[in-house]
Amino acid sequence: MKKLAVIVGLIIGLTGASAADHLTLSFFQNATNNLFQTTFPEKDQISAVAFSYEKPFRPFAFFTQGQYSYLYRNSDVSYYAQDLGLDYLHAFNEKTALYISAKAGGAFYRSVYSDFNFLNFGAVAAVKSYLTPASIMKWNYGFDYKNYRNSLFDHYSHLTNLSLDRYFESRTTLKGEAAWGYKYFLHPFLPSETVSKDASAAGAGSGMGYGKGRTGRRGGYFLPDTSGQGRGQGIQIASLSGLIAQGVSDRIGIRLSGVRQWTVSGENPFSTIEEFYMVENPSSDMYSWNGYALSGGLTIEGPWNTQLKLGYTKSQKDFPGIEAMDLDGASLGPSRQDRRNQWDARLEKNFRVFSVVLSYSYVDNHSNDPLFKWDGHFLSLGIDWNLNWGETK
Amino acid sequence: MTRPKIFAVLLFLTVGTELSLGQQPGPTPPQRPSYFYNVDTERRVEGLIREVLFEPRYEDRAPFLIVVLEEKNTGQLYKAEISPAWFFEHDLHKGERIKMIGSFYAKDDEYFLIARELQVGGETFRLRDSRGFPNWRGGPTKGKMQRRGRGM
Repeated sequence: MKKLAVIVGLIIGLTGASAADHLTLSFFQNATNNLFQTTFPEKDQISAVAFSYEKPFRPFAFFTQGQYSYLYRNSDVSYYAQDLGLDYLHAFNEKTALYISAKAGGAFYRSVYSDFNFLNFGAVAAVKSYLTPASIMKWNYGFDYKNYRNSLFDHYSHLTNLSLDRYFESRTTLKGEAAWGYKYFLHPFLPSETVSKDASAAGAGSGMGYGKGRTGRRGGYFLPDTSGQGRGQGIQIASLSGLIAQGVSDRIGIRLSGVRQWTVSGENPFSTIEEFYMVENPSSDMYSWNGYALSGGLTIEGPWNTQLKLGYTKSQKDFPGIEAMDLDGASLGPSRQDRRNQWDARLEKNFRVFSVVLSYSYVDNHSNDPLFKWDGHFLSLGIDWNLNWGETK
Repeated sequence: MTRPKIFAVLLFLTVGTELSLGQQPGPTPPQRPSYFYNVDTERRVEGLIREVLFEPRYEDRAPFLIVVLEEKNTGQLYKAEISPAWFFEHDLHKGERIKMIGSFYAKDDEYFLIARELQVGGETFRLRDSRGFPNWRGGPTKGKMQRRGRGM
């Protein structure tokens, strides 16, 4: 029945798009040997089909996008996500422009992960200004509200950042950015009697998360924490980041970047955090850590409309409020700390109306929590198909 | 509904959509403005960015990023129309070397380009497809939902 709903959603999307100016369809086939990113790897394949379409709606533009991801071995984690909204672009003068948008959407998982089903509303405002012809200042502000099927995860957030860059004739670009964010969980704590009941149920394979009892340590995920009551439900972060990019020739570009993030106040109200296939969830996102990340990248424009990107990222993240535990669930004392090395390669070949993308990533994650000492290979092959019609303005 | 049936429906939809679009490319306006994308006037220009500015190009539509480009060999100046929205995510600066493929037209002794493809800073950006239809999906919020996680 849910599959039928997905198909109907896609039909509605495509039918609506039949009067649109720009439609993109994509299909990606993915494979990994460690879907749940733990020391007990599980292989799986994921088929993801998506569409997005835009139509100018003077003076606004309407946009919508939808995506269905099907997991072959863990089909209970399959999901559909959709959002739609309006945006507006305005030039104050020749050097400064404003972008604003509002959107609503949601994500809908299959049964086992359905606690993470959510509806959301978001708004964005951004200003881009050329301080000089070779220097750009950008300011962004975003508001996001998510309402989950399991109300423990309900939250809103504010995120703002300010960046400044400068281009030099040596083909060098320098960029600095400062960001501040605040996330507030509306009601993340349960009465203690409810927690103990849920925790035992989760251990039996139900409750929050997919809970397969792989380790016998934590059958369920994202257990709420009663001990944290009164310590606050808001998490405040700040970060500074920098980037240096160098054009070596017309066909080769190099970039180095780094970010340092601090938790200014608050900590995660949940006792565990885990992610699967790098998909963010309410307890494991940019607000859940402090630390740093350094990355380097190389872009090569190849022959026959090909583009190769190679990248490496090294990060160290502490997770305030999350205790490291042994495989039996006993506390090890300190908060969880991860060190991660990630290598990425991406090859794109552009054809007349579609592009083919092949990408591969290898992640090597070290953690003081033994469950999260893992490595994983991620392979993806897909096609982006652009369909356009109407005027070629 | 079984998995093969689902994919059959999706295949039918995508192919069917493509076919119907190919047969009915949309109504042609009775009078096209002089600045529509004409593939027959495409030219490749290589040079330096001399100026960047935001400018409304079409009535009631979002402003475009306009780049004043000085051709490397001739010194000829072109006003190149880049795109709306996309420019919020990608930065172009004065002094950057750029190769551009675009549709050319002249008006009031000025040369203009409607950009289709940019090569700058070691990267290539395709703003329009080979028929001149816009590819941009810009703005700080668009296109972010796709491929959550590793390629999803």
